[in-house]
Amino acid sequence: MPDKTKINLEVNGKQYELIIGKDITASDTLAETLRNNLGLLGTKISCDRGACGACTVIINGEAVLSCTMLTVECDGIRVTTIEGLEDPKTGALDPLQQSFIDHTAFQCGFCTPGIIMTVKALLNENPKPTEDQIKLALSGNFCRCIAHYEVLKAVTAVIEGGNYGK
Amino acid sequence: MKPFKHIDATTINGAIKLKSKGKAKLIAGGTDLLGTLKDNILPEYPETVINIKTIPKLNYIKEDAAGLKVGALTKLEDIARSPVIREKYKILAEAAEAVATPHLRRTGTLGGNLCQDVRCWYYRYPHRIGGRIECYLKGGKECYAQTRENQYHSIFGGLRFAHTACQSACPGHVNIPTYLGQIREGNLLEAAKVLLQSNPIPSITGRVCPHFCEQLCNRGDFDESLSIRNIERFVGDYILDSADEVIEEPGKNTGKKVAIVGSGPAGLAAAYYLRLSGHRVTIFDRMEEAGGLLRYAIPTYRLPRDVVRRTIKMFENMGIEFKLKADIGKKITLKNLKKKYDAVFIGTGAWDPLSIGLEGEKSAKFGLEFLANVQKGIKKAPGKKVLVIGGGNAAVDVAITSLRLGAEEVTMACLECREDMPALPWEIEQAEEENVKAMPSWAPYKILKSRGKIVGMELIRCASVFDESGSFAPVCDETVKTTVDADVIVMAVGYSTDLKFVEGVVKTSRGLVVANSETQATNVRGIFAGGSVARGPATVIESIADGKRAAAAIDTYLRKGGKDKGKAAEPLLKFNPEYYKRTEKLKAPRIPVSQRTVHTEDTPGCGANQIEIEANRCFNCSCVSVNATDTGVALEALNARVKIAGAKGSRVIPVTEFFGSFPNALEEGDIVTEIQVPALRDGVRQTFVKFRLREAIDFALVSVASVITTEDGICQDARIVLGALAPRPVRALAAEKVLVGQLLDDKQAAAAAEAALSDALPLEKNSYKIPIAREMVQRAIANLGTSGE
Repeated sequence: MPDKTKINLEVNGKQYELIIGKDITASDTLAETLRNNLGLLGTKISCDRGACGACTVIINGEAVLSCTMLTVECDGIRVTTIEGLEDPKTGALDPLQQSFIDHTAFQCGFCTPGIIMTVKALLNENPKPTEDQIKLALSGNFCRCIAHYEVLKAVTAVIEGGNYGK
Repeated sequence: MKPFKHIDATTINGAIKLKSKGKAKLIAGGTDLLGTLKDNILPEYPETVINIKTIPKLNYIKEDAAGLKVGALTKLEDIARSPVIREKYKILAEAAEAVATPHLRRTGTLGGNLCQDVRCWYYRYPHRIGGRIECYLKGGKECYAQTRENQYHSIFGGLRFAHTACQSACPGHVNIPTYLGQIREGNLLEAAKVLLQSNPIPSITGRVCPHFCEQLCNRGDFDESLSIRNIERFVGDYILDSADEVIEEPGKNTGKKVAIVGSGPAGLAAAYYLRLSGHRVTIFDRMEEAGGLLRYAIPTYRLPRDVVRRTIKMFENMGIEFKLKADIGKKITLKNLKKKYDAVFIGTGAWDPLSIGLEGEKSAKFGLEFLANVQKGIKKAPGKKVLVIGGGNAAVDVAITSLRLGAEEVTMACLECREDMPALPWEIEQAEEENVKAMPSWAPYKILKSRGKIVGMELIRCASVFDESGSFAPVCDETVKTTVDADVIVMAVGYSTDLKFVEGVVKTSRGLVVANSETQATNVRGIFAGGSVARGPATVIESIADGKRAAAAIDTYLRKGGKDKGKAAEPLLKFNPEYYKRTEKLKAPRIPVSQRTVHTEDTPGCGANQIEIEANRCFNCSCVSVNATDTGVALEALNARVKIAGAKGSRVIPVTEFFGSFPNALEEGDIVTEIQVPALRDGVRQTFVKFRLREAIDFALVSVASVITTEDGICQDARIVLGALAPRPVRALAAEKVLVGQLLDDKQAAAAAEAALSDALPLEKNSYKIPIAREMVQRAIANLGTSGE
């Protein structure tokens, strides 16, 4: 098989071409590439071992951890990061983001992008999840400030408000 | 992460080839691997990471009347959500859903969950107790979990990892700790059987082997290594004494005939294993008695003739035929043999002098010939003042034998410095004890003669023997000279082979028969070779290993395909804190110098009591980590099978066998490709419970899977498997026995739970797991299901 020389990625609707050996190396994780190459600092790296959820992004519709993926294995994928949630034309926040602000669903905020991306993927798949489903979906996102209660309120409010559009 | 090369595999075979080549690791979901790379905790950092996600058709869930088939690359989340798995094989879905977090389950695969790396904090976080620590698995000398923090470790004992230090050091890979374990249990017969699996002549190696195993013994750094030599000799002599009882009956006659040329260790080993496989074996040897160098080179004081003769007798009693005084290449040629026999093994050793290019070298005597003559009965010292050139075993043998036969002065000179002399330190000590003068770091320069007779030798200082790459390239200083008086010079610097009888038949190179290092096959189909004739100067155990390898390859060749017996699950091993009391190595007594001769053995060996004490010094090296797989526990309860693709084709083995050896049964290059679960009968109850501290991300402290068939409330069949309690999922056979045939009620469930934990052997800090496990077993039987809080 011929060696791959470059990776094509779609991130938040934009196309990127990354040359292996120049822009990225084989051992770069997607989280590193998003932050270091594309400047998308909203995606956080915390434990860097797949345990905390801070690096959650949406790939092809699913919430996954960008720290446990090699960028070289991401050719042709579609990624959404926290930066991709705002309305590209108006710059308005996603209703989910607004609800987190309205409910002060964070303290330090470090884990918040990951949590929002996890919920976003959940709501895309199931716009009316039960509380248990929300808890299960978020069971891979850890928050040391214990903002979980406010997070639940923020998510529930979006669902109940019915103002949640895809 | 440190850099690596990344390759997308597109076929299974491609991935196998890549994996077998150098330091490579497979990546599927990557959820386990990437952490180990970021922390750089693997024994060897991979040069290549092979992506197998790019191999098509390994991600599927199929079901038919026979059962379920799941591709190894199927994501855990897909398994957890699969309607068919949730309905019919629900504990697999539940176990998959119990893994880590939803995020990880979306990338983690079933194959990866089964193959996950060791979970022990000393393995995973080697930097966290001050400095980097290396456990046994990384070549270290200690299991930290056995003596320090072991809250999360096994309560059912350890599992032997692939090669313990001693076993890897042994060229024959003798399973030393296991046979020592049998001795500790007082089971000499079983000990003998384990030993014979890799070495058919232990009473001989127990006397003459250099025992590399002792040099690497993990106990060596603690106080002193075990005296494996003395234990081996004892078991070996027991084998000779009770051969009728110990030696297996040869297998069913295959009707195939194998000729073996040479009755030294390589030939004997090949003969033994071929005979056990049911082939007819004939050994040809040019000498009057069989045994090759065992009979004609090693002095009697080290290896009594009686031991060799009884060993040969044992071989004859197995039905191995010896044709002596049969010099192949003369009356009988190799070509004849090839025609008359279905396969031929060449193990003729190396018996000719090796020239070192010294002027007048021919006037010196050849050490091996001198030793052989002594063995043939010509018991005469080679001279009054003897100079032996060489620093290996044979040189020491020549020196000591010369002294004992009446030489007045014996000097041994060799190129190597004292530390690098190839002879073992205690052999050199013994020689010096008997008054041999050792002169390390001196190179032969000129033979001194007077009136045609040798009067001595001029030697020059040798500064180094090997160059940086390890090649033989002596550096000498001609300005530093010394002279040794001698009336005879004996060369013991090496031997060369006589290959006249193979010429024109098999390929040779640099004076050796060319043989494949894995199969010992030569370039001619049906002709194999091993020992010194194929590998150059070899120790007895190296030759035995060649013979055994050749026997396996010849057996495969004769049967037109191997017979894969499958591997039985290894036993879990008890850890005994008594190991860590300081003790001394067993030293065999030796008769006083004044009484030593060339006819009798120098040491009478050790007694049974001493051997048992020594066997109890063995650390019984094993890994006490727990296997953290959740799906593996459910799959074992479901009696599933694992399909593995490897270099030799694919095979399907039960999950029990997959986890039977540590950390699993995968060999170099193997890849798990599919999991097969047999269809369950109607009315079978399945339960999976996982107890952990937090409901997400945590590994199990205890997990239990049960598959129970009942009829009218009576248990017909039960499979109960405990997870996270041992280095592999553990079938609770005792609990199953309690249930079958009984009414399934709370009382019976409690009795079964009691039985399941009855043989637990907790470490110092993890006995708290026992009551938890008991409760979980009870719940799994009473079908209370789902995660424990």
